[in-house]
Amino acid sequence: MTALITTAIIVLLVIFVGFYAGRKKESRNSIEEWSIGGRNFGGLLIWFLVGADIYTAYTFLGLTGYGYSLGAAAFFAVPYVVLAYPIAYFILPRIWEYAAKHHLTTLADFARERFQSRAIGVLVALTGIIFLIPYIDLQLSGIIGVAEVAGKGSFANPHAVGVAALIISFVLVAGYTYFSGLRAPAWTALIKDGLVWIVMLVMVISIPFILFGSWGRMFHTAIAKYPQMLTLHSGAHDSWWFMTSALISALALFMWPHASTGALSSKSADILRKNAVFLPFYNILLFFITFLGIIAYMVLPHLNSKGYANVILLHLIHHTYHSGILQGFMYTTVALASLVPASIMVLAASNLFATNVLKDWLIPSMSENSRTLTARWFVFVMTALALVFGLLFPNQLISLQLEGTSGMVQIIPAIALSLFWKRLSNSAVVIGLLGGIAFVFLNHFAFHLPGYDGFWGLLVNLALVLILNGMFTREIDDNLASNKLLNDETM
Amino acid sequence: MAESEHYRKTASIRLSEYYETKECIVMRAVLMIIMLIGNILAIPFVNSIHPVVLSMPFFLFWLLLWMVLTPLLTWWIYRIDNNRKKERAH
Repeated sequence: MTALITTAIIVLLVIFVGFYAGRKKESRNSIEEWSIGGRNFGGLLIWFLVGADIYTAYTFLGLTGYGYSLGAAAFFAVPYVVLAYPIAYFILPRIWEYAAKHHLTTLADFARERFQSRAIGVLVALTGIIFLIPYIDLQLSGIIGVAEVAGKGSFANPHAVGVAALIISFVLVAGYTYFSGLRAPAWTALIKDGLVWIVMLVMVISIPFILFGSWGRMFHTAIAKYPQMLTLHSGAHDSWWFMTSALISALALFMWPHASTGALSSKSADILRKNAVFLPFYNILLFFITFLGIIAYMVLPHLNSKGYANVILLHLIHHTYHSGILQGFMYTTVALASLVPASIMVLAASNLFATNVLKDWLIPSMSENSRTLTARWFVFVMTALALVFGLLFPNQLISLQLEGTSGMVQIIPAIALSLFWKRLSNSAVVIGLLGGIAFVFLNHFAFHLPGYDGFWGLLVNLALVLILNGMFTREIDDNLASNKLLNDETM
Repeated sequence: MAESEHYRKTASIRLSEYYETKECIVMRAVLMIIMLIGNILAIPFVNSIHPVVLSMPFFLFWLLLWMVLTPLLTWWIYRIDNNRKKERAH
């Protein structure tokens, strides 16, 4: 009970900070201010903001869960996040420069201007929204898990308490996102990441000592007793799967709407380059967090109950520490790690909807003010959608969640290839994108080629682009002749 | 047609401006390939518990090693680009 109260108090304090971050009226008077903080964030804030995007509740709960159930295969996350940054280094600063100059706030904006085609903007936006909703739901399940485990023993129906906690916290988070825009998750990310660092370091250092006596002895026990957990094996999660999933996830990371939102809020392109160099040091924690999943396998009972693996980290905390307040701080960290990124995700999806779906496609006559207001109100719609989906159709969401990264990576030709290949045509990219996404699901449900679905999808996507591009020379010439972005002499 | 020819030409000129010297391209590509080999392609060959390094299974040690090496190589690319920018400013 102490743990639950501690968690509730800290989470409410942080939400208050989120509202306070947007106390100035400028925070919400234009889409550029509201959705990307006026493109004015310095290096350290970007560090925390992008950190907040990537180190979500799903990272902590999901990776320890994978570690617990898959063993070494869970470590695909390590090369994945490590490699995402050099890739981002080549892509993000260039997009940032175009975006700053032409007042773009989303990747879909960039695609639209690059190809002078509203259709591709809408397509990129819809891809983002469709795959983001299930991702927001993953964050929701983090909150339910925390309330359930923290409230264990105190309530007759802990799941109902979890759902109540979920709804209250998400309404509050939607509120602060509506009110403060990106400034809310940015400033709360400072607190969240501070807690993440402290709590994760404490756990990573102390858990092996408390349970095994030392890190060395813990590894020794693992090698002696559970060697099968420490290497990859043939089967669904063999080294081919490991390689393809790490590579595709790395390519996809900054294609996610929430990650690119964080990047576009930077004050300069150089801040992004520097962050691509320094952010990876954040990942060292990730390695040890994943290992906590293997520790959980070693010390906790192996239950088969549904969702047990997903909250294994919380059970490990409960098993290892006995002070209610200490547990409370740890649960808070996980709760914040789901609320803060969820806020950025909801914001990114709302902006995509208002800007690239409504204004570009359905209601072109929309004024700047009503676009800003629509994006802000849409925060509540997105949150409600995610809540309803998550609570009513948890099973249908699973395929979308599994294929989220595979789907997102299909916009790579539209966003990244288009930066380096000026004679890339809109039609080829659109066909590639649709073909790629279709193949991802075909492979998931029908073909079952080994490895990550997104890898095969991207292969099909790129093949279509390369084969078809030559057929659209006329379109390419027209685009090059009139394109402001591509003919910018200063770039 | 003449017009499209013109844009084809200017586009390629600007592209080469961005990439700058051949040396830079090669160096960046080499560093990126090294990162890909270390993080991805090497995986099937390092998938083993022995030799145990720093009491860690070799597979995990390898991943941890590249977690440190990759940002250092990215930093190298950043240095190359920064020097080039300074040269251009002169």
